Amino acid sequence: MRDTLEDQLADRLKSIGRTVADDIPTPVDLDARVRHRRNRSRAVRRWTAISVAAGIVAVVAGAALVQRTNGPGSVRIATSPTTGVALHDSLQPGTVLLSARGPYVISLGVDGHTNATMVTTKHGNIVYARATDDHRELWYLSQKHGQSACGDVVRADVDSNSSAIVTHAVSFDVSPDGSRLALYGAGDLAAGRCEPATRGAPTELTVVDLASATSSTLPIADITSMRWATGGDYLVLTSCSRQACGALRRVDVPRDLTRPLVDTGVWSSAPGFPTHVSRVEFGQDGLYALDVRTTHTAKGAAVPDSTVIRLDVATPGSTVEQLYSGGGRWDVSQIMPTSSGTFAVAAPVSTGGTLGRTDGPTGLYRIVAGQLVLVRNLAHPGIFTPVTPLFSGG
Amino acid sequence: MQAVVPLAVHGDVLLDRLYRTHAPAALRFALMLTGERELSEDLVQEAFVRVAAKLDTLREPDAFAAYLTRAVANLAKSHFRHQQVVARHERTLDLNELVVHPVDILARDTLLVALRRLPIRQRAVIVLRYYNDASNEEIARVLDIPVGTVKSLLSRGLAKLREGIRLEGMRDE
Repeated sequence: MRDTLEDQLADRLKSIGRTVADDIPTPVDLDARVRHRRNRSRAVRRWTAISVAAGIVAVVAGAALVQRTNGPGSVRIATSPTTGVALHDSLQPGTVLLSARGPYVISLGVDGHTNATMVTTKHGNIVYARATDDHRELWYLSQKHGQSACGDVVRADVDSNSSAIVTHAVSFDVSPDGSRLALYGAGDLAAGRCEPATRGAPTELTVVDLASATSSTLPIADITSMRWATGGDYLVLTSCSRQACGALRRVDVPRDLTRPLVDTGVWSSAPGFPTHVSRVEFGQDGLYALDVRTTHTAKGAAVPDSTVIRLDVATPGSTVEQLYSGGGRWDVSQIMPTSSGTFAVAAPVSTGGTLGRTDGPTGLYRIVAGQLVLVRNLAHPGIFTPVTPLFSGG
Repeated sequence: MQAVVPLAVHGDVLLDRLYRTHAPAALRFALMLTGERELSEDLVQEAFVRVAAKLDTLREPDAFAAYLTRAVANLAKSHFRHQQVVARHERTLDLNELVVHPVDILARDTLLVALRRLPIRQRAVIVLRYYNDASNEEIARVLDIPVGTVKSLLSRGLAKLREGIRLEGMRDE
């Protein structure tokens, strides 16, 4: 039981606490100071060890080398003007999609046209990019040696025009709040050591908490892509071979990463639940899955049959809504649920060497009332990701 | 499960994130200990550098905030001890100036002035209890001292605080 003095004390201290902002800028030389201090500590420890065990060669484990780059050396980030509203939006106004295409990350508006070139790399191809929910950071994967090889996982700070290679992975995703990374590949991913996910190599899924510097790892194989749930409490994984894609898998991620990741396996086997999922994306009203199976034409030609389905993430096995079915005429390769509608990348299906040109070009489409509506021709569409609106939290 | 220490140590992005996550709370704690904004910022930066540099040897990397708080308290203690030594040599010590330093807090707040007069360990325990609402066990863990010591520091600190307020009140009258 507190008395009056104690209550007053608590009040005064809390009033002092309120004078400190929640966001304190990081000193520019912090990294150098930490490195200097660490090197000095290591030197002291090394000499201590040598003096204690004279004559014994001390093998000092080399620290993982995570390369750093900064700004103009390898990456250029174009900043966006402010929106003029009270809450600063680091992305261009009206940005609904990001496209990773060759050496670029491009922001696009609802009409599918470029808002801004956000990132240009001098080396490698950017194969995946995602903005955090606060729009301040872009995370992307830059690969130089093909799809199964390790790429650079890079974090770009949009406002400060700076970027840094954070780690390496074959594929990755950043949690919506930017606090956690999910990394896939072989090798010791938690230590920044990635090896290609070639056949036979033991692969793993590692989730890293960037604030607490803890991680949890799960041995897992044949992951094609992964997406963080909106709340950051689980991951949805897709797995595709050359022949077909498999069912959705779900991995629960504990808040405390000293606890293990939990692979719940196939998410649901309920009737109507997608079983050949090539893509997933979380939207504001659920999980959007692209189910692609192979069907045959009357002449016996194998063609893809694409279906876009929206799942209720609370009860994914029971609530299923089919948004679009390609009927063997359209090959849908990507889906992007946004606040401005559901977009898809689609191409007319080739039957026996003949493209169904009458249906329309390869490009960016919107799904409206079960139909594809052309937004923009794109011969080389790249990899799209939806951008969560800045005010979506209400 | 494994620690992700090398990742955290390398790359200024992760340091940046660690700093942004933990520095505000550490700065509040330092400000309550010292009463000086500039000094507090210096202490927090130095404490952060020391703890982050040892991330690969921390027993509990998860408890980064606790390590940082402890480092701030230790640095503040060293700072004031150094100040006392300097003052003794210079023989120009003004006790009020040494312990109060009310640059960024209300200089005329009797309670806070009395708090500034307490020894640093008592101050730290009181701040953790009445600002952070920490239990005796949590305070003991953060400051790396026995629970019994926490209890006695708290008890003596509060008693001195009451006495300090009484004296300040008399002075103001």
